[in-house]
Amino acid sequence: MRSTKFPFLALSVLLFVAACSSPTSNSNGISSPVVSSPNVDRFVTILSDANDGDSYVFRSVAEIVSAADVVVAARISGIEKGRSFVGDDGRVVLRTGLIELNGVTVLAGNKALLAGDFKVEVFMVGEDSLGEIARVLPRDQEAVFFLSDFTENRNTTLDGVEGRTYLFPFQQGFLMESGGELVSVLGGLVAPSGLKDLASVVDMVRSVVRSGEG
Amino acid sequence: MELHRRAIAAGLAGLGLVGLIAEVTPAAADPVGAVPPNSSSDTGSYPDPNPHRSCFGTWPANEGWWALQSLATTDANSDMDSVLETCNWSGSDWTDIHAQVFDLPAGTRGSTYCTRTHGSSTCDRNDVLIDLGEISAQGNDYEGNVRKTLCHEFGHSMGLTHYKTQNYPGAPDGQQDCMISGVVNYSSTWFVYSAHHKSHINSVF
Repeated sequence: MRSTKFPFLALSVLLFVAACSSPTSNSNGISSPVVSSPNVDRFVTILSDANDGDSYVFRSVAEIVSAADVVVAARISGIEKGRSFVGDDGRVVLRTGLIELNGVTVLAGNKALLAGDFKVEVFMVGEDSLGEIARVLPRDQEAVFFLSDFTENRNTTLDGVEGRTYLFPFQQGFLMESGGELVSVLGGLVAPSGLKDLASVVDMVRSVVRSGEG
Repeated sequence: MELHRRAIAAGLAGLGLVGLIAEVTPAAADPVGAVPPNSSSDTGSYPDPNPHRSCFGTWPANEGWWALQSLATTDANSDMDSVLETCNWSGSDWTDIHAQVFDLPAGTRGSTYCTRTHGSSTCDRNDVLIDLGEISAQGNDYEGNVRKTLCHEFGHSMGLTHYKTQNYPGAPDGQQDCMISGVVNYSSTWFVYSAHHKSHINSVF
């Protein structure tokens, strides 16, 4: 008779190790991040330096949900060179990077914006910053984005891809977790109270959507 | 101002007090009134100490006038000397501010980018981008908010960091000024720099 004791123990150990090393999930499907904090700090510093302009300050989740064209939860998977915007003297004054996402869940807004080729677009400072952002990019990091459609704009625009949708996060609208805290990546103050982690953000967005439907 | 500082430096050097200069000259790493903990980074550009030169793209008449007023007011109330000129992108002393009307993403009223540095310490050219349509869409007091955002972005070009809220931690030293983010109601408070921020400006120029 063959013993089944060893395979059973091995399977138990494997399951235990897997449970310890995988991101934990809650009822919202939002995973706790497994990222290096120094990298996240640098990622946040670079992007907030480039995107922290004088912006409207949203006072509630309902307000930013209402202003956004679409709100999504997703994992960051990559970054690539984006568009360039030309100033009134013919010089390029702004460059962007395009954040690639996977595992996208639409929380609110116009799902049609995500039906084709779409990217989350952020400003960069200088041509060299793309490489540095790529080095510190928190890949597989879960994030929530409150996005507005910036595909069409009044600037002279270079390097745009025909048919692609370009979605910009509001300054307070790119949220992820680091070191157990909610981080506003673009430097915007997380003004709405009651937000402590991504799960609470998702809960509040869904609550706003439900109240709007009611 | 630069000649004035050099004269003081020469005088102190003659008295064997060069070390004192090193102590009173502001450090480039801390040119601004950062407001921890909600100021994650220094969004100001450290300017050179020469007169702050500016050039303008195509502006509507009123808004262009408000922009000139903003710089003139700072000139009159600080050690910064403002010079209006044709954009100069050659030689050793470029125009410091190129202010232009721009279309920015939703929610963003203005942004300032240092698009050319002089070495690693100072900024040679700031592109100041103002979205008049966005400001108009965000509130009823159009003039007040345009003037506030102009003052705000010019502040970045002089090394100042903005702050997010009138509540804690709010403005440095509790003095509100145009470096606040977002919509304001009409008040001259929002068109000028606080004593705290003026001291930062004066430490550079």
